[in-house]
Amino acid sequence: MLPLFVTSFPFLIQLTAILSLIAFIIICATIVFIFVNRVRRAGFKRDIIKAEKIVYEDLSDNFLIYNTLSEIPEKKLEQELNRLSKLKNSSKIFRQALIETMVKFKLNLSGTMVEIIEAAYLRLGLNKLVVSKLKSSIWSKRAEALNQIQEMNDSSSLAKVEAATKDRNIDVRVNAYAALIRLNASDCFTFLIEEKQQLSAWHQVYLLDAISKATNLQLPDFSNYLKVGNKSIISLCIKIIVHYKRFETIPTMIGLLNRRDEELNYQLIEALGLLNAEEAEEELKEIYQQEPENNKSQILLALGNIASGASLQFITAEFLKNRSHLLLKSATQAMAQHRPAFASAALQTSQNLTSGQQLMLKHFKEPLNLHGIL
Amino acid sequence: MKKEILIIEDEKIVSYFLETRLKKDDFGVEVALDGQEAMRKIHHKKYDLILTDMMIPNISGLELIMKIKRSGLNLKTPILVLSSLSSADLIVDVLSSGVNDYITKPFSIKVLMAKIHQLLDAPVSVTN
Repeated sequence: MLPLFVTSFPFLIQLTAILSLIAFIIICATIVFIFVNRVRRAGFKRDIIKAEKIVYEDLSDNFLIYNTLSEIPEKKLEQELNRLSKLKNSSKIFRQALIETMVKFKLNLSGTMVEIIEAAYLRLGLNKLVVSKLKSSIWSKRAEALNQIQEMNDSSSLAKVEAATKDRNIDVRVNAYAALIRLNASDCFTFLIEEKQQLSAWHQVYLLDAISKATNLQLPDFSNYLKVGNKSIISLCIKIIVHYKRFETIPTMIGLLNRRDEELNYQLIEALGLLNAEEAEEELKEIYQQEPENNKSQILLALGNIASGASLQFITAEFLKNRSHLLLKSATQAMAQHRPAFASAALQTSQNLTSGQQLMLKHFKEPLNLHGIL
Repeated sequence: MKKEILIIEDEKIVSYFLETRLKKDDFGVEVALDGQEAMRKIHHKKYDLILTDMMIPNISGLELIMKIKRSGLNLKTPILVLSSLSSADLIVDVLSSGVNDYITKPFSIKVLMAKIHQLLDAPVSVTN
């Protein structure tokens, strides 16, 4: 196999030459494989774009010229569906194009026209094709299917979505949770107790987005979910609580401040401030000394947000201590948020102030600075 | 005479659908898929209405609106924004930049058509 002149070389060199040749062949084969795959994928993408064009033109010209489903004569509907059905059965590319086009229409349109899209989607059996993707060994395909199920509001696939909440892949499970929320499943928040893996920030935002898009969703009392062991779930619950102003959870949130978790405490303190939780003021002042600087700053800001007046003395004392730039800034901002009392407090403390303190006071006297506009 | 509408929208599904619907209602329709194409059309023809997305290639939505408002031919053309961006601050910014109305996606075609008819029939107000 080796050229003749190599056989006269020592064994070690011969071995090296063979190994180098094998490595070279493997590298070449990999490059060819990647290249062929890319060309195939690009071709598939082009075909999908062409197929999508045929599909959306067809839907726009024949279906979406009507405003409601009932406007379409049954005979015409039957004819159009038969034609689309032939298209669907003609190739995998058309099946994918049909699903993706309908999802895109659903994302852009609202009102009675959505009924037409949903009816066509179901009568063409596209929901079954989407559900069949849940059996794929590729996780991204399963996640895509769940996303399409939720976008098409396909409640007939609810059982399959529930099964997907047990998937071994976290991204697939999160998509399944989001789909359950969008489909308004009765136990759609059970995952808050059952999920043991940490959710990423992206997962949390995705779930929050699903909640905001769901219609007629009944939000539960999140107090119990705040006590679970999964830190990321608590973090998600805090985001939901703040977004939907769930004031009934404030006592539980105050109780959690003693768990000595810096990151969670930071989020809880911020949330209590945003919820204007006056009942949390004493607890916040109590934990202040034992918290790290970032959390101390957040406590001052939260007290500023609450601005009940009961903590102005505490905030002013922190301002006068002038321990760090961050705390000085937060204390001044918190003082400034006590708008009516701010002027007198600033006056009382204006003697013997450092230039840094005076500058900070001047800065927050400007309302646009206070609200972060400048 | 047909009223002329320019649709500026990069999502082909949406632009084709709007084009079909508006033509069905006897409007003259032209489509621009990006900022450059939109500016070319705006500089060469006077439209009765411009229907635009806020996120289009090659130009930011607000910049496009400013350019339309400064263009000679379409200085007084009403602008209707159709966008998936629904932040209240952005809508205020867009409306104060001289846009006549704003519709968020997903949109109802009935509402959109009503707004288009309203803008085409109503006297045009110019914001400097």
